[in-house]
Amino acid sequence: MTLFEVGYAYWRHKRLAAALTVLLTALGVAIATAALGLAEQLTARAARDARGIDLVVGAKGSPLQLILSAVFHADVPTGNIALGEAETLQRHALVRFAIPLALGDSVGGFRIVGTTPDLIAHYGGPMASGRMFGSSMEAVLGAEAARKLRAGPGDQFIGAHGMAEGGPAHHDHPYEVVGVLAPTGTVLDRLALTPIESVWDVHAAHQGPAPEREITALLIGYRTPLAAASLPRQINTASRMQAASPAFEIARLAALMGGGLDALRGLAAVLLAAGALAMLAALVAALDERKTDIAVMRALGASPGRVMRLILGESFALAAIGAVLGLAFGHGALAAIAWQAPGAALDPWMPIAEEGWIAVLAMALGPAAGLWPAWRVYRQDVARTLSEG
Amino acid sequence: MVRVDGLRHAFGSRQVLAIDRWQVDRGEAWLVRGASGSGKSTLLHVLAGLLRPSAGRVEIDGQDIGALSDRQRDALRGAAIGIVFQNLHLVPSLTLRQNLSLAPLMAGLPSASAAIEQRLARLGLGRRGDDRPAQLSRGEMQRVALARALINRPKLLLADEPTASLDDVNTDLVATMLIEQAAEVGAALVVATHDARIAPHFAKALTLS
Repeated sequence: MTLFEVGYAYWRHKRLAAALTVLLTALGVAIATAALGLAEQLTARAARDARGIDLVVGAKGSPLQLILSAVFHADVPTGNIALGEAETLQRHALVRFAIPLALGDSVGGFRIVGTTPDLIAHYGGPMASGRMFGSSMEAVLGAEAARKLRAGPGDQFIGAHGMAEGGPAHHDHPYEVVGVLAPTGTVLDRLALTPIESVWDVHAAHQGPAPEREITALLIGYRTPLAAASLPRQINTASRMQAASPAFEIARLAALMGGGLDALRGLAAVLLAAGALAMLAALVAALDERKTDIAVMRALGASPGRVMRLILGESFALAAIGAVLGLAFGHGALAAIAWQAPGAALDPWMPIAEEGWIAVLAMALGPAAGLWPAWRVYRQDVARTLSEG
Repeated sequence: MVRVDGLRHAFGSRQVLAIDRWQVDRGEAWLVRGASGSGKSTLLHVLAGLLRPSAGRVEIDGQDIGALSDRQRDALRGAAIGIVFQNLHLVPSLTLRQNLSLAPLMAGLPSASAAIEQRLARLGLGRRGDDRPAQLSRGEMQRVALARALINRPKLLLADEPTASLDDVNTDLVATMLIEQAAEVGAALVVATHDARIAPHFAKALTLS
């Protein structure tokens, strides 16, 4: 028999107390893991979606809304811009590329984006099946959109006005799926891509031909980093358009979300501390119940140090089980979020940078909680305990 | 095996134990008797090295336990002294086999699986090694407590009120078993009791007042 078996036998005897102690520790670790994992993956995804896009140009309004609508496709656009003005900007000497976007409709909750093949090339999305769209009303689906819509080359779908499902449908203008993209891990996976002409044709049929052709936004890459100093100012002051920097707006968004994430981290820290206190309470209660057992161990020749090691080992083992379970629960919670919100494109089982530290902290809290009970063991009057017990 | 000279022990200002001279030789069986509060349990605790005497000299197996460090006294107790407590104090979360294994484990001695099985068999508990103390009768628990005290083959076996709450038949059985088992491992036996029924089993007695 080993000291470990002595401790294991006791906590198996006291299953409920052990389970509650482990669960409280696991809860703290799980919340910390899920919160940090969510923050890490959303930040990484935002960076992937905005990669290589230096500037977004659209209608005047909220710059954050412009970025959310044109880069992440997570908000309604601020409005439209004149095609002529956009084409002038596309030819600007400081612009290396400018990808046009025409937004407005969606299918099954996935946005229909009128654009050019340059958008797909920008994110490096290879075709999984079929071919690239060529003419109006042809569409290429992102991987997740194709999977959820259960559509592939040769299928048709009807677009509906607006972002939400259930908007007015354009039944007289069905789209034909000509290709499906392979997964890219970017926003492309959740889009239905079509030539800009499709968007114009659908809306001309409903609203009549517009006096001036319009698009929603331009995604721009600078020819030179120096462009950042002058191009946005030029656009914002000398045109009817608005220019917004994804990097700046993402940083602003992160600052806005940071408070919430800090609150989650704080909650996780409080839960970890509560787990440590619960363990302290469990160990003190266990010690009161076992003081005769421990006196017997001393009477059998155990040094105080050996008995202290038993108590500290038990508290470490309980905390370690809680930490491992907590990591599993945390990733399980991320899997549940990923299932509920597939648009977030989370990989729930991807290791989180800080989870090693969370586990180490949780495991360290166990022996820390065990120190005081272990000290009481060290000071125990064995002869008196045996006489009273 | 045990040599006591001018032993005094007090709790605060209250002296509870006074023995001028006493000696227990190897293999002897002694009865320590006296009324409640006469210092019987205190004497056993001093002999076990659980209490440091207030005054006097106590030698166990040639070692002055008053001069030993705490660690040395723990080691001496684990290797050379077996104790049967009045309340037996079997660990309820452990099986009988594990309760017996506790003795070598806590003394830092090699595990004694074969000796444990042999002793359980000798005490008629060979098939009950996986039972827990709560599943035993008082008499069975008494045998397990004795087995645990003997598993490290001590040189000195101490028993505190081993026949408390036993009927006459079981009192005789327990007294006989203590003497036989101690003799089997070659241990000196010191039994502290106020139970006059077991006096006939012992040729030597120390009376505390």
